[in-house]
Amino acid sequence: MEVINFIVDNILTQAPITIGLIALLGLVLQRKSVGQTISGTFKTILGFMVLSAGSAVIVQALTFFGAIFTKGYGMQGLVPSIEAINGQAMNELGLGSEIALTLGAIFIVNIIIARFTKWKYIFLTGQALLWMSTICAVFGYYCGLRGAALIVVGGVVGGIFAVAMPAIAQPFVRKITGNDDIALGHFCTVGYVLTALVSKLFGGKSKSTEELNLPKGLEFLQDTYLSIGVVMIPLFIITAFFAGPEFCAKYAGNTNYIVYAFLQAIQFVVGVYVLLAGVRLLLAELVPAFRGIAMKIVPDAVPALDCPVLFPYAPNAVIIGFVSTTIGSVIGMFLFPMFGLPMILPGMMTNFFAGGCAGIFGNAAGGTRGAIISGIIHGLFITLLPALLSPMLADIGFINATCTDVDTIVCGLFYGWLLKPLLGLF
Amino acid sequence: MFFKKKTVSETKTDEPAVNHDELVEKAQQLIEELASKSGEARITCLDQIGLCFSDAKEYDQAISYLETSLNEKKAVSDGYRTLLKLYNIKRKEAAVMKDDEKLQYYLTKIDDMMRISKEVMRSNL
Repeated sequence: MEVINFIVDNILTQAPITIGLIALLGLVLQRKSVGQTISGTFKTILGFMVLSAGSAVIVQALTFFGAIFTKGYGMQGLVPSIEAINGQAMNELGLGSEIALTLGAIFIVNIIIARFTKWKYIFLTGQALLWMSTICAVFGYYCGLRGAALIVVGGVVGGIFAVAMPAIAQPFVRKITGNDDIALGHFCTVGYVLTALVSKLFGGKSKSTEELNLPKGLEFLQDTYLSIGVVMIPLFIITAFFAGPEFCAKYAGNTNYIVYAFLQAIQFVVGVYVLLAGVRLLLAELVPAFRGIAMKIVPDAVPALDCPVLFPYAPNAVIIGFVSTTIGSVIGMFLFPMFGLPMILPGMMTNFFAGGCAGIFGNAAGGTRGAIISGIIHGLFITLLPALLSPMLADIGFINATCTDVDTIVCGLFYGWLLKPLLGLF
Repeated sequence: MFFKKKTVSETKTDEPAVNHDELVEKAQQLIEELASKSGEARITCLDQIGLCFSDAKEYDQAISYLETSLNEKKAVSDGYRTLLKLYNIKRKEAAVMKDDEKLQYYLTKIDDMMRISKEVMRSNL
């Protein structure tokens, strides 16, 4: 009994160890050598600790930003960062073990659905699955689920999303790629389908984006961290200016408040850099284990791959989608606070990857005109949904951040708007 | 509806009949011309050789030439898209034969293709 208590209190509740054990299981199932098993398990645990370190850095910067935003503008401003949400969930909310086990459960449910139904999609984008498992675990906890129930429900919900989203996108992906060999594994599918439908309505017979000659000038997007910095640095500095030196001095001390704001913006970028490095280490062993097992159990599986898989089919559409989504997200940033929703700041990475992919869907459905109009609508959509989810995120205890990938937000809304009231009846 | 037995399904496409020997011969001709080419012309030639072998279902040779093309110049062209398709075919074959090593090898190759796609998109900005 004491041994069991020791295992539960000191091992299974310790997130880095839980996730290390999942990696160990995956490596053993793949019959890796002892050396590879030890090395892989160690790297996974290390990845989790690095992720936690990155999260702590992000939270400090976001705490400062939230305070000066409210002081400066009299409203709440939220940074769209699924990385910050994941980091806070694992660290500050202590849900690391639940997230790790839910991730494993999602893998299993995905394999079961693909094995026994006609939907043969195996979701291979590791990072996206980690974000989905975060939302399922966090919102399951919010609904009052605990222990095995939280993990099983999260696994089922997340596993269904892992198959349903590629399946929903597939008619469009088939049109884009000309075949059924690959599917899309990117949890922004609801936005893409909306984009395609709007584009079909407004596009008419306009020519394809690939017939255009687009100017260059978006070099800042060539680097992930430069892209984040280009948005966050002016945001932090301008917001600090509006908050004023007296208010900022509480945080800056003797340092000039504008310089302090600049350094905090850099700190945010550093936090994201460290967190993502941790995520890559963490997933480096888990994802190969999962997909190796999945592909053997479902040999006729259709791999659902990350959104860059579609970029080669319409590169101009990616640019047009990014620009029009950004326009829509900036409009939404100012529009939705008029209705009492928080201000959602534009996320350049989301606007590039999700917006770019939406552009491809838009172009496929309605050419250039369709891609532009639907891109703007997509930008509004991906700003509205995080705003709708934010009250629940605040309830749960998240600081000044909101989710980005719309499918994960739909999942969160499902838990909060449907499951929670339903469970409240029992 | 949800618990259908696994059936072998293949995407049926209306493909024109291809003459394997003609395609291989065309590829061999292009290989002979390759030595005299450089720069963009060489990349185009490598891609065409790869595409011929792919259409002739000589997948290993197709992969070899398309990989050479991609190593010399990272681009998202017909060659890139065909190489991705071939990696997927080889991945499926490895899964059916339960060859773990080859399965992971081709899954890693597909990961590399995602990275190339991102790199090329970013460099074109």
